[in-house]
Amino acid sequence: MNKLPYDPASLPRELTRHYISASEGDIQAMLSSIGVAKLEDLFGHLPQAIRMAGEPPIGAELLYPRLQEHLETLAAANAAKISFLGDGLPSWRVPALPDFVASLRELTTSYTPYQPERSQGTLMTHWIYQCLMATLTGFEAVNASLYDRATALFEAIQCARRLVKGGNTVLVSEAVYPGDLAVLRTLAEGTSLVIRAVPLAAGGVTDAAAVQSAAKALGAECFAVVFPQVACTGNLEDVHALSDLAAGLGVKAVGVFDPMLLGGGGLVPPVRWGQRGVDLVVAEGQHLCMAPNFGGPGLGVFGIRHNAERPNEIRATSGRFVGKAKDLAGRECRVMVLSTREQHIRREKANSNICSNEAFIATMAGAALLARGEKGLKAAIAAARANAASAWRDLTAAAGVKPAFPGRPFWNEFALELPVDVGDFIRDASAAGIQAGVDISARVAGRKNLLLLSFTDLQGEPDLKALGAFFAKRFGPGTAAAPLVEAPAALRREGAVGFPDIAEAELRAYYTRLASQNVSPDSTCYPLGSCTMKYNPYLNDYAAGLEGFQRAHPQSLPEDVQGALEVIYRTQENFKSITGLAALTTQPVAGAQGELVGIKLFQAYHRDRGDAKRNLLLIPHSAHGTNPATAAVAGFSPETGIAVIEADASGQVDLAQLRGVVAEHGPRIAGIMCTNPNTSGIFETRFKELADIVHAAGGLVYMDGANMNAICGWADLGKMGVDAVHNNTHKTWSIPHGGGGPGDAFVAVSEKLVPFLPGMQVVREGGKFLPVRSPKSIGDFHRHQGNFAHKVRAHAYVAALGGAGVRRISALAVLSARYLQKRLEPKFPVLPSGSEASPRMHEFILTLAPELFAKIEATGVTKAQVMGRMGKLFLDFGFHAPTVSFPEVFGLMIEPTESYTKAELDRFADCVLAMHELVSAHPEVLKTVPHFTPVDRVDEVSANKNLVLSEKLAALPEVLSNRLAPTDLQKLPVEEIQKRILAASRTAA
Amino acid sequence: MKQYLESHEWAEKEGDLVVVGISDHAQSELSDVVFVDLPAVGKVLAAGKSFMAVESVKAASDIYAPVSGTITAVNAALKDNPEIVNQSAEKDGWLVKVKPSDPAELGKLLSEETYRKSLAH
Ligand SMILES: Cc1ncc(COP(=O)(O)O)c(C=O)c1O
Repeated sequence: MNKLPYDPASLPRELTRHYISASEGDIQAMLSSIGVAKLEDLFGHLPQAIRMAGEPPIGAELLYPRLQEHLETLAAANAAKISFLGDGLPSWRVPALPDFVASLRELTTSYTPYQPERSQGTLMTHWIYQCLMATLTGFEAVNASLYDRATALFEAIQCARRLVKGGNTVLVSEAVYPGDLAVLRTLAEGTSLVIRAVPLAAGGVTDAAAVQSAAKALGAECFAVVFPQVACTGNLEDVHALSDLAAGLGVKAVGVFDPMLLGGGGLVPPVRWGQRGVDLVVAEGQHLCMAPNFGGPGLGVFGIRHNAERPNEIRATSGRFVGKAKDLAGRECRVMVLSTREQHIRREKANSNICSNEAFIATMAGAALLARGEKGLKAAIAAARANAASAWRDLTAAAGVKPAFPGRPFWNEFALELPVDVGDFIRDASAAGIQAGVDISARVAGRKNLLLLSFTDLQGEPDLKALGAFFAKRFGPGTAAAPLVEAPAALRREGAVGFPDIAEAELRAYYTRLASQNVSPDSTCYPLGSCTMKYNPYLNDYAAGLEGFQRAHPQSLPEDVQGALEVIYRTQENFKSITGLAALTTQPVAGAQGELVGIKLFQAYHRDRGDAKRNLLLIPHSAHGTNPATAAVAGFSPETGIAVIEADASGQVDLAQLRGVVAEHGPRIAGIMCTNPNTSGIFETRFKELADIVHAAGGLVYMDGANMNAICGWADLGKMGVDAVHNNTHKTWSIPHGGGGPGDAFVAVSEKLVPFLPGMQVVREGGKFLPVRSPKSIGDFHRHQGNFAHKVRAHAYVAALGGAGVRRISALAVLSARYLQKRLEPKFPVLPSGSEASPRMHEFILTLAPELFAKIEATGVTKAQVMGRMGKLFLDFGFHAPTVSFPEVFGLMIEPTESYTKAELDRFADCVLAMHELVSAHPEVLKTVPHFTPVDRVDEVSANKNLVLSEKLAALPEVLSNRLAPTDLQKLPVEEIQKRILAASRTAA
Repeated sequence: MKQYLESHEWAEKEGDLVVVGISDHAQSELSDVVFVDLPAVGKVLAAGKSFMAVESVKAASDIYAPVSGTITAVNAALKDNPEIVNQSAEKDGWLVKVKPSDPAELGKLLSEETYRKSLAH
């Protein structure tokens, strides 16, 4: 066993059983305060018929240090070999800074920066990323971020379609990676979007003539052309000719690039492709800051022009943008802008269903680019080229080995044609300790035995020697090396990028300061409802960081990645037990993508039965915005494809209305999407009845499992009639939220949907783990197998829980919420009103009494502003805010999770009651909240009117200090905080 | 004389055109307008269908066409100064002018009095 890089004994929550801090005494005291005898009784209102018979049979919990050992053993089952695998996910030498930034818990464990005053740390890291990527590409607006290159490409295509208006067909050169194309095809299926792939020309590059004739034949039906800078053969494309071709055709051009190659001395940036540059750019950014990690978390890079000539194209985009802003006192700061395009506001009319994205990978990528600086990036690009050139000379000198595309320029990846079967060759090389490359024979018509090798600055002299020696031994010496083709000057960057070179120590200090502007669930309750801000164990991160997991390339031979495959296999098995369903896909990278997987499975199931006219989804009113947005992305019409179901007086889905809708639209119904417990924190006790009604009409049942933390181990989803459910692993299964992502998800399905599962299923045969495809698979949602590093984290957590822990976390989450509710109820009415009798699960929604609203409004704060201002008051007490105005406009949704002691919950309750007292006596404090954050309330209106989405970074942007740090506030007596707020408010007013 | 939709748009005849905007009530509900998604001149509208949006920071409000017809002008001042919608929703903050294809549709809209009464509830 290794020595851990941290001391678990020094971390208050790390060695507690199931990472639950409450003691037995705490638990008894909380139970008796709410009048419940034992934990099990918290679930007493769940119908017997849908209860899980006992603990899910996933085995006993593993404790430190056995758990550590188990994780290390898994990682060690992945082979350590010299690798030339790249193919769109290469391994570069990564500076130390991104890992350091990932160790700053206030940055890694916080949520999406919805509270800008308490999230300047996260916002600034995204700003830095946006600025550096803008400088690198010349595109003023690069969002932060999308899932991976494949989904970013889909979003770019959708954006182009919105801009062109008219035309449904996009021409995609098969020069893009096949994994990306597979995702595009999957996402387009069942929608009006048509993906037309254009096969490669014989030279292993985009067939420009074929693109032209296809576009001409399509006429106005064609709205865009997609091509990369580096083809999936390693060849450099003539990006100028292709960009001009698209411009000449009058369609949008979407360019795919590799950010690592755009540095000084590297390739020409997309803003300079052709006469006018391309319209949209897309890239993978994972390798800027991370090893392959068996495929993810990735980083979908998406860029568009945003300037005086093209001010409004930004409105057609998806993804999160951070903009420059000022607070009310004129201090410069950052805030999320352009939110009205997103699912939480626009629902089925949103530009995309993406919610959690890959935010933290963007943070790390920004840090990696800063750490490399102008000089480092240039050196890395040159080293990669030198390695490729050296290998080219060695390998093409072997007998019978030929350049696959003679005379074609490449940069750091090239293809060879071998005189032997390339599959055999790859296996032999692997046996000799070398992952020699990828078989790309199928990518070019009529070719065989093509091997693609990738070179970066990571390989050293000995690696190249070993590769050369293996070729020499295998093929014998040939005549002479093939001539190396230099990349033409027109395809290369002229001059420098314009990145600053800043010393590593300064950067570390800077990011440490940024972290201090956020809060973390490490230190105290982070009450953001619906987000399950529980403690994120350090051991999970340690496991994900193990060399054996990190370096695993997703295109390795299965025998080289047995440890990774075992993690997926165990996850499949564990979650079949935890959900009570038949099978699981681990491919989706977020809850919203899990929803899309589920709905596309429904469509495939109906299609397969020849029942393809089902074009209506039922969605309760209180659903999260991703549900209707997902329906629209899957092809359901925003106007006629979604039927909204209201809640009844008990706060549950109105079954009478549901029956009415089913009676009216039965044969049109594809299914229902229902969150359980619902977003008001109420368990839908009649879920089985609801499922039966929908099933009887031929529809299927999707359960949004974002709130699994309330019921895991107690409710059996199979018995409830669920056909598909996602689990957001960044909620229930303890992976960090990363300031907005990367998220992750598992989707479990009923027997009916098993044949259609996407991605790979891992099976165990003769003690070996093997990936297989489901017979009628709907395709792929990720270029590889999803956010694998998060699968490792979730596995580490589930292993620490065991069957008993799965039940205990949900029980404690419910107990903590009920206990808090009990303490706060005397002062705060609970929403939805009328549903007070329905017991709450893991979260509850508070509001203010009408008299208090009136009192506050009398100070000039409008009713619509009140709850937002109450949220800001939480910041003044050293907390993050609850979820404001969702799903109830006048509500604050509080979810404490199971991670805190009774004393911590009491302190939280004391503070919330003190807020009530303060606002009752001095409602005017809400005019000036928050008072102790680095900035005052941010002026979001002007930031959204005058959008500034990037600037050239000559130096690090200024960081302001907390006026009173959250950690200090957390130590002050409650009355003292009240006093200070009052004083600060008077000074401000 | 202005007429209204339940969805808070107003319409007013101006020669043979119909001027369209959002009501003062709608602008105050929306709070600070940060962007007006102006459609193109020439766009054909169908009565009752949404044809553009007005956005604040936290909401995007779809605007429904009071009458069918073709857009002949848009209020270009809103491009740089969307706050005009807040300052003068029922006058300077007009959104588009439409050449109606069926002027009789105007007759189906709410009178000012009926609309104001509907707000009182
Ligand atoms: C109820 C509900 N559904 C879906 C989602 C979307 O999940 P993700 O952000 O993982 O895409 C969320 C996330 O906040 C949620 O709370």
